Amino acid sequence: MRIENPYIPKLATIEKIITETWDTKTFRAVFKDEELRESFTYEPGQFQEISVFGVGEAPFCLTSSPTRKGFVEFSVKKIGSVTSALHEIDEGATIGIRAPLGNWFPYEEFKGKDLWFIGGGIGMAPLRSLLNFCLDNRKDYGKVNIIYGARSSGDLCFTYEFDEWQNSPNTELFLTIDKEEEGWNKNVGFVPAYVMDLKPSPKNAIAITCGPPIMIKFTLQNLKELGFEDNQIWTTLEMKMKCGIGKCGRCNIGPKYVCVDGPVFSYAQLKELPPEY
Amino acid sequence: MEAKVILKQDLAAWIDALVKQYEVIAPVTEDGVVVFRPVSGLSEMAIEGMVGPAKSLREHFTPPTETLFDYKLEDLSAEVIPPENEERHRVIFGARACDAAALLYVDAVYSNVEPIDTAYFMRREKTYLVGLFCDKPAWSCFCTEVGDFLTNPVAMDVYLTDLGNRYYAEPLTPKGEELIGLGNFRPADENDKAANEEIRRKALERLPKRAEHETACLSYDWDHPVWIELAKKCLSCGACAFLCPTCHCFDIQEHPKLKKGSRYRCWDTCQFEKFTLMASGHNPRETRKERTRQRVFHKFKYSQERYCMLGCVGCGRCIAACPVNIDIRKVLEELEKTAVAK
Repeated sequence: MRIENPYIPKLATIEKIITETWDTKTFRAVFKDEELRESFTYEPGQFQEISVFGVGEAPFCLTSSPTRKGFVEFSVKKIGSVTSALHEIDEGATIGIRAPLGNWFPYEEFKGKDLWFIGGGIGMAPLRSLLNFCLDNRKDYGKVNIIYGARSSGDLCFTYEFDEWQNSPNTELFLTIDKEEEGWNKNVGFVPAYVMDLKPSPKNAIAITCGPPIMIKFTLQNLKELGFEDNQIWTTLEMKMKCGIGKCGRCNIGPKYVCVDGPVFSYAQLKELPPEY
Repeated sequence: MEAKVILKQDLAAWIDALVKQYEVIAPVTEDGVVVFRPVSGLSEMAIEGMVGPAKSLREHFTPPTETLFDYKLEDLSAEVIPPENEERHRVIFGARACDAAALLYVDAVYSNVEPIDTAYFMRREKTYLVGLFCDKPAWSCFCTEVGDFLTNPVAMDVYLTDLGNRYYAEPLTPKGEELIGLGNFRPADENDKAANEEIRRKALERLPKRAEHETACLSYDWDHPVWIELAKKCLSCGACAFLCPTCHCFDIQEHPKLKKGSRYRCWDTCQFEKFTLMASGHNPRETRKERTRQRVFHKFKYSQERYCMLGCVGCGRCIAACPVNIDIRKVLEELEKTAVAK
């Protein structure tokens, strides 16, 4: 039996590049193989390994929703060698993709519940996949609340979707930035503090959060204070991953590997792990 | 399967027969130490009175660097070229029981979740192991503390014991019987069996007794003072991990040459500071305290929780090679004092 080499990426073309902020771009890629382009699917929360040939490979969450077919998207903050190379490339360039990898948000369990998406900066990227998935299956979920914060208004990603988000039925978008800014008429303050101001009710609700470690830490504390149970809080730990298939041993936290047992974890699951994330 | 015996005078002819059909990898002395290398006959082999091999079999299953694929770039397009599969079947002759047992652990890691690591398993499937009973354990050996595979070998096809003028050979798989069929073996008699038992008994006398690491290790103390002591001594050189037959972690790197290049993987270790350093600057295991704890926990706690086996086969290479004399047996003793007390 011939088994496919799991380290070999599929070739894809960058179809569209959206400049999100001064240091972040979103890339839309389509597989070169037509059959794969048609058949490819994934779940919200899964990730992909993106190759820039000649530079290397790095993991990025699938930012797009599987309800929107024919392409994959990923958002990239310019921070290391692969991300810098991605910021240099143009539309039409060939990249490699290994996907879909990892687990996903248990969206079936979330059905019928109010959802609180709590994102900070580029941490909104993995949440966007689930958010757009829920909005495309709007009747399955209760009220959808989006708390999204960044350092400044210029650091907010996906601004071109804000109208769609807040105009969806029974959906509300709460924006916040760290410091006062001329012309800014929304909230000012850190995300965890804004969560306390908005006081989401834990009754029949799920909170899904992602952002810088410090934001997640205080958001978790505040959600607990508001009465959220450990299994009502979900996050995604996009960290340390390399091979993406549980072999290279880089992303283990205790007996778990982020790349195969995650990247999505409930707070209840995280508490079982050693504090190494 | 019936045990057999081969006289030492017939060994060379058996090796020659194996070499005709297989690539034979056997212990040789290289720069004064025993390592496993391809051989063309018995005269090259350092099998008689063999001391512990300096390196395990690891490099023959997961090479220190291994090309994952080559690529060619053309304007905006790219072509990916997978590596050629190794077609030749191999016999590893003289493998130690600890190193063979380590393969079962690496098998678990590379097949625990889909997709399996194809390059590794292709090599595993095409490699047959002729083991050699370890009758001269080194001072650092503690295989009997972590398993009974010295007397109940795993992952081998044939198990040999040196009886002086002859080798006692136990075929453990049908493939092992086939390999034995290529040599001038005779059935083992009662004398052979008794001699084999005696040699094993004597070796076991020299080794430490079975410890209860399995239960003790699961309650290891995260904040134990031994981690601080280890951090003071450890140099983060990684010798322990690179000589370890169960360590399997790797990095993935790119080797670009203008319009073409290759992506490869290479050995890496959790003992290196940059192993867990992320592009953002965040490092969950920033100090040696966290990294030494990770290594011990991974082998004796996490591996049990994930793969239901210890991640250590007691080969003792980490102890023998450590430049600052860190002895994992003593670390375990310290940890188990409090683990048992709990």
